[in-house]
Amino acid sequence: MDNIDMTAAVIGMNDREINELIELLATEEMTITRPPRSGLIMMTVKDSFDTDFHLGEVLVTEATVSVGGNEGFGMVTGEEPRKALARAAADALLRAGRPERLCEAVQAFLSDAQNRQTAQVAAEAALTATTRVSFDLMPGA
Amino acid sequence: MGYVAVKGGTEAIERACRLFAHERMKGESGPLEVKQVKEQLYLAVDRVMGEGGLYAPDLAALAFKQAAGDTFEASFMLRAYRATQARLGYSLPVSTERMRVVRRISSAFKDIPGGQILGPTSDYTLRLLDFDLLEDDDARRKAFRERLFADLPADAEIPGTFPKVVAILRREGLLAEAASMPTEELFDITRRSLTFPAPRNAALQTMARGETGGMLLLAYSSMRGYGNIHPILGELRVGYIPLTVPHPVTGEPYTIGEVKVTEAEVVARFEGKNGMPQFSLGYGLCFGQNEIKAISMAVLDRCTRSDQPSCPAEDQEYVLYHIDGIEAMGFCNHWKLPHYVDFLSDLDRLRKAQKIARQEECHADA
Repeated sequence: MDNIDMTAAVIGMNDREINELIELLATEEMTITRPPRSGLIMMTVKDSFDTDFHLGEVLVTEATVSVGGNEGFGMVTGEEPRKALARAAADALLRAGRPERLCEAVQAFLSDAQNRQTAQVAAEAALTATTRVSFDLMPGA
Repeated sequence: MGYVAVKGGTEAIERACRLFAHERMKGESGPLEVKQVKEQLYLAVDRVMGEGGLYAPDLAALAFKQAAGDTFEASFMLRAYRATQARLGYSLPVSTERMRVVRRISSAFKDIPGGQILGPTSDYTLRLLDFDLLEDDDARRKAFRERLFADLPADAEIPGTFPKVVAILRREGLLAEAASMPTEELFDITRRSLTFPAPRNAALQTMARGETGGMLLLAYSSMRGYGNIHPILGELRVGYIPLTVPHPVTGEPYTIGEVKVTEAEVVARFEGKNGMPQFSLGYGLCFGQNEIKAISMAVLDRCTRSDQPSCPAEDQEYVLYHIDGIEAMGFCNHWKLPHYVDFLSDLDRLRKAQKIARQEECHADA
């Protein structure tokens, strides 16, 4: 799993987890190079004829943070300034690769969060799976 | 047209706004939390996002609360809000084959690869009031959830993605190939005004933010017989697709979240344009879980591609100019604004016409 994928775990974190991650990251000196700002991403999709079209816009928040000269980028859906900042800081740190112990701690934190989210999605998916249906044809059909 | 400028009334307007807010809060119930709207009235929130053209569940829930449940007004607020935000970019095009499915059915085939998954739906049930909901409380909800998860079979699993049903028809040469659609420049209706005939991708974008009721009306007219499209639902899907942009530093695909969508693919009457007859396909996709809208969009996509339009639902310009809820409600609402000069003019003409009629009656009597 690369660093970019690991920071995706930030998207599904709750407020408490975001606060914990920010506390962890705050032990290293970081510079907010672009404070969080909200904006729109136009979502482009492909239809069944492989025709691209714009489905509509999605509200997002983005921020950039620098750690040891490495620029980190954070963007998440919704009006979520702290999330965007945390993701940018994690991105910058993991890109810098040092301090090593902090990188390991952040990776472990992200990995745990990702596992919890995966388990939650799996539980919901299991519920969905119970609605699988195979209708019987009526006699004569 | 004789519009007249009016001024004043500021205090009355402000008081009317406060009175509207008062209507919402004068009852005995406690304040309605936006989070409650988002989580418990999620289909209304999905509809507002789809018709507003902005995926923002928290803001859509807020708009729905502020509008006291009026989806037109709530969508309008969301569309107004988007005008205050900077466009940060376009996502990478995503195919719904990557959808994390929560519901997927086909009315074309009984058995489809991956199976039919009913998901969260009230389809196939009687629409009877559930009076137990009058006693809704935390303890009942907890007990309900516990029962739901306790019954879960150990082997209940669902694939990460599902193959497309229309691919089966395409493999057998029964459905028009993907490449059969002409390649057109990608249009953005939020940046340029529509001209007709509009590129199909612009029509799809317009329909994706169309108003559910308006689209249903037009699609229904075709289904009932004022048109030629009697659709079979090849596949209906509800689920989540990833929103991905290029990472500004590495250029690699960078996922920023998931977006809930509904997709409908309708198989319609066959045509034999290139010799061999094949089914044709209509396509619908919209934000949130809104199956009526996705199916209506798919029907209208197919209708508006008719070679010789013979009814309103087959006329692209007619359809695209009348399905935007915000434009339609805006026009309808504008009749509430002062039209004093128009009406005075009408009164004046009516009085003159009556005078002439009386004179003619007098002449006839004489």
